[in-house]
Amino acid sequence: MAGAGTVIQAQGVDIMKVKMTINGEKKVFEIEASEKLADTLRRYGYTEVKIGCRSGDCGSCTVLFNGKPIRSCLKFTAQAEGAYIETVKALNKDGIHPLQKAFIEAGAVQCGFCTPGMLLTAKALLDFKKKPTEGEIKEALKGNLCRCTGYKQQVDAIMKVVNNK
Amino acid sequence: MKFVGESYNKVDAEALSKGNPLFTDDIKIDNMLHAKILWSPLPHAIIKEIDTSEAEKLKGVKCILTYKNTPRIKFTTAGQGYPEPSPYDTSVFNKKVRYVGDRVAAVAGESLEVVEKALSLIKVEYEELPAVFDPEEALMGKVVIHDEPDSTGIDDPEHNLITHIEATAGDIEKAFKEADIVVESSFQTQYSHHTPIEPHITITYMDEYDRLVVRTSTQVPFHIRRMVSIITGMPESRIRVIKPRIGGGFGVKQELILEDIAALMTLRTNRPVRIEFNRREEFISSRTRHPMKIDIKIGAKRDGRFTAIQMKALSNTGAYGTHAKTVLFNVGSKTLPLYNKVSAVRFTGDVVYTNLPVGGAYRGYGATQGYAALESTVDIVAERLGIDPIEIRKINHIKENETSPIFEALGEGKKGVQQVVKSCKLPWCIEKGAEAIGWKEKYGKHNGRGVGMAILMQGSGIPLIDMGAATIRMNDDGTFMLLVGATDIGTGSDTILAQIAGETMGVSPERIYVYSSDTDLTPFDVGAYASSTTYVSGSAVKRAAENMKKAILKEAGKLMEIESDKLRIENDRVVANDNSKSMTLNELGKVITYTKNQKQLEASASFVGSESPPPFAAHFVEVEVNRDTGFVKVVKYVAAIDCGTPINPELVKGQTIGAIANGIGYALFEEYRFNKRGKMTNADLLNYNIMSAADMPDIEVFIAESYEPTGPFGAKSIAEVNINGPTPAIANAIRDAVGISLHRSPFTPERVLRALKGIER
Amino acid sequence: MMSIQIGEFVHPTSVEEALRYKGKPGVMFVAGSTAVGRVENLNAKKMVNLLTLPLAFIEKEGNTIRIGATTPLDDIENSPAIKRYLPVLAETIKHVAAWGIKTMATIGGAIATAFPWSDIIPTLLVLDASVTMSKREGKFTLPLEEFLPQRIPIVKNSIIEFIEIKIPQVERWGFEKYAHSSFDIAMLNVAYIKTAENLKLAVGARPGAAKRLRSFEKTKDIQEGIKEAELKDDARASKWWREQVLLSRLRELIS
Repeated sequence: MAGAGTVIQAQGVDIMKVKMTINGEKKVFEIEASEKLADTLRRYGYTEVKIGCRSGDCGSCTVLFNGKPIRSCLKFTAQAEGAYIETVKALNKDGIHPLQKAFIEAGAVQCGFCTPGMLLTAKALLDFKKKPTEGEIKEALKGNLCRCTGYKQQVDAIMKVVNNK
Repeated sequence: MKFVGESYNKVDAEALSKGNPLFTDDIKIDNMLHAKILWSPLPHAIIKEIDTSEAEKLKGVKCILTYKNTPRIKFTTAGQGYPEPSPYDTSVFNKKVRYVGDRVAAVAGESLEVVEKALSLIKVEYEELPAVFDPEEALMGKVVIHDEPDSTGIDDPEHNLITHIEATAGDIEKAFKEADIVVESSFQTQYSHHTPIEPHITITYMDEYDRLVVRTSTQVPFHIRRMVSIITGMPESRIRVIKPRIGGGFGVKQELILEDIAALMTLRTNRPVRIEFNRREEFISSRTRHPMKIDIKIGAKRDGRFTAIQMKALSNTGAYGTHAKTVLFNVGSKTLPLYNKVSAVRFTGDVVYTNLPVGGAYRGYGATQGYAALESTVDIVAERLGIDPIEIRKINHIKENETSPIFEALGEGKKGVQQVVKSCKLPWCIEKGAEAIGWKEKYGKHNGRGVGMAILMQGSGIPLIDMGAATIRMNDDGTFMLLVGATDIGTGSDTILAQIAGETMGVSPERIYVYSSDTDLTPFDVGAYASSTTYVSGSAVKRAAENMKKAILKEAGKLMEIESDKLRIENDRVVANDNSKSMTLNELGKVITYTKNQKQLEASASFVGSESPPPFAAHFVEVEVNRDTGFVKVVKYVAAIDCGTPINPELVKGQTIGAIANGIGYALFEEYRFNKRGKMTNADLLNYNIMSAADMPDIEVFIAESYEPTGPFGAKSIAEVNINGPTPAIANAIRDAVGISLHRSPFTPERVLRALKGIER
Repeated sequence: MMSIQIGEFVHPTSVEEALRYKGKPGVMFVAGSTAVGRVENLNAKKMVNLLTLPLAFIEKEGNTIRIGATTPLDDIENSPAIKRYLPVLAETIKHVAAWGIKTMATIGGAIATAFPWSDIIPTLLVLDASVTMSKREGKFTLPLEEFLPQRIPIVKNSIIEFIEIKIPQVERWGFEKYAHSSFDIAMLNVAYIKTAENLKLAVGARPGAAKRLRSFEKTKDIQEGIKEAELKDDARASKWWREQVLLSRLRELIS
């Protein structure tokens, strides 16, 4: 519930320590038991994880949890001990990722708020399916809501990456 | 043209795709307080007493605001030019609550936990009043929603009527008498929300010089500065409004929503304050699309020519009148000129208060509701006359070099501006779209699959009112800074303004850095609304760039000893036309800054449009209707558009497809559900559905070759017009598929099935 | 108002350990958190993490498929065994929700919460699934149909361990979800399997909780089936609409 950079209020509640790996880096987070993963990540500077609804509907909080997309706004941080987490920054660790490049060139980035979540879902899809069909891409993306683009550009971008592989 | 017309990548796309910290909430501020608002649980009540003493005692609570300790001045929250054409019917906090979700109090504290606790400790004694939810009932005046004497701009408060509009051109009775058939039809639209994925959020703080900084997700930074200045009493020179990247606006951020509360709290506590909406608050307490009942009457000759059109709109603005008048004007002003062949046209409109969520600015701005009614009625006329829907539109629509009396009769809250349509490629759009959807093969089969169409227009900025300005500065290395007030809300305006500047100067847009929407540093711009940025802000940029080019050629000419009219700018050099001499912009920059004739090369310009050239579009949709369930599947959607010159075709397509996606949701399933007490019951993204990737049909966009002589490099606009298409086009396609006429959106399976079985609800 | 207070999180590694927390005041349990994570007001002294229990598995033993309670729906949807032997279940899960939800939501969570609009429950009902639970006194098994109406008192002192399904010899099967958009919950859903001997059919989101239409299964009388379904009005759809849709579905099935 804290915004980026807010010091959490202890208020007589025990602080827990939770260990996990973020984008390849081992991290120890000090959290309250009630904290959600999206808030913890943002608090620790991973502001690329967006919060759009807090009800697990919009998908802008998507991170990869052991390689699979999850709704980090619903996930209790305390249940993420030992997990391997990837935010969108994992994609451009070694220069811009083909998915990011394809998104940019296809006009799939308008306001950009849904983009990190979309990119991660796309990455996970391509990790599990070498050549998804357009229908499978749309199905996979249906949990990432976007109000700006109409989705065609994201689907086209992913198809481009699929066909170039 | 070298740079205009090219699909450059958006200047912010890479940073956004990397997840860089670009949004309002992506910064770390020490010592920040959190704030939340207490909302009214009742649709209509007087606040008899409000006791914050228990809440104040709570450790960590730093500031509590109610009507008792906030300025009593009345204003409108609408982000519009001053003086705003909306009633001044609200203060920061009112003594009355007028809808479930109205402001009652606000608390700032050290943590959200403490703030939530404090909110629950605020004791409010309400005197409940009867509430009214139906606009027709509201007009009867048994319940009066705005009865405060210091509210202004309301024509008839005792009947909850903000304004009544009448605009007629020609002899309407005679024109209907001349008709061979007269068709009357009514259409009712619903409450819907913009649903930007980023809800409203504002952070305010005092800077090192005790100036108030407002960092906010807004479409209208300059209007916000003015409104905060008026509300807090601080001069504008001591207020800075910064717009970071924002996660979607669509009109809901053309508004003062949180900034007044945050600003007052920062001024009182001297601490940064962060206040945001959760998704429920976003639905209930921000703004919505005005639901409207629109009656259309069209008189036509047997050959299909319309003789008369009459449009009557009843708009429900909810509890406050922000944008109420201007949206109502737009219902007629952006639709009726489309059919200018009539001998007479008449528009009447009323906008009325009810105890429901507040209508505001929403992409399309009244035209969306107007077209839902108008374009679906045109098909009824076509059917009665046995004329193809395409043909009947071809006979009647406005063409290049024509005008309509409506342009002057209806403006934004007042009279409009006479104009002649100088660019209109609707004929091409209609042909192209019809071919792409396969109209000939698919129309008229009545076998559960059908096609439908709609033609549309909008405007480009508000003429004589919307002003934008730009400043271009050359750096000493020959690159440029382009400072604009224009507000990029994800649309890509920063990108296209760089393209316009580049094209004008002969310089690649990649050498131009655009900095926008910071009231300290950028010149004025009304903000992102009314489809104004390309046309108005773009024209200002073009003028400034022309002046900059002149200055460059003059200074370079002095240094090269060549007359400036014998020079050109090309490939980052100033080159003699006979190619005898040249110098790089970097060389020029170094010399002009440090060595000789030193000056800062800078050019500024402003622009106000004297007209509002309409973009046009022809939309075609193919649907499949399941006769057993009423489900409507959109199979294919085609949009052929005329935006004038597309400055950046990819971004034009992006605007088109995005608007259509939004429009399809509005046509098929987006709606507010209310309980008997006027409380929205589906205020989350699971129960209020928007289109997902899996719902999108196959979609094609075609851009006409068009040129608007009054626009920068021939451009008009594209931001809004396409959202108006899906509801009427889908209604018309459903009629073609299964022969039913729908008069209420959204076209849920329930509504469709009832119409199929001939059963009223 | 949002207020989430959790005193501490505990991570039991065995069912016996988890059972020690059942029935204690102020204790809540969470698996995938797609339900608990949405709750805006909660106050728990202890939150017990069910994901650390060894209950995520999909096993085939002879003619029986067993799915552990904390198996995510995503794993079930993509499991080769499920796709082969219980295709109606794999197909049903496709409709459930976004991928990012299915990776978190567990089958145990789905039957413990048993939302009336659940897509999985009608399918599990036509598959005659059974639920095996543990309480302090030991393990016990109930048919899902019996478990559901009593789940709240049962879950107070039991931990769901797995569900079990006997693989049916299916000639035809189907799952239909009627929803406003790809994103919405069902306004009605219908699951059926047809074996050589019989038809099994369940209707959910009636709007009430899912129900097997046992009478209709025997008589194939459509009007009786509609009556048996006990459809009602709600905010999303009217009784009339639900009846029309079910009518057409049953007609299609019988033909």
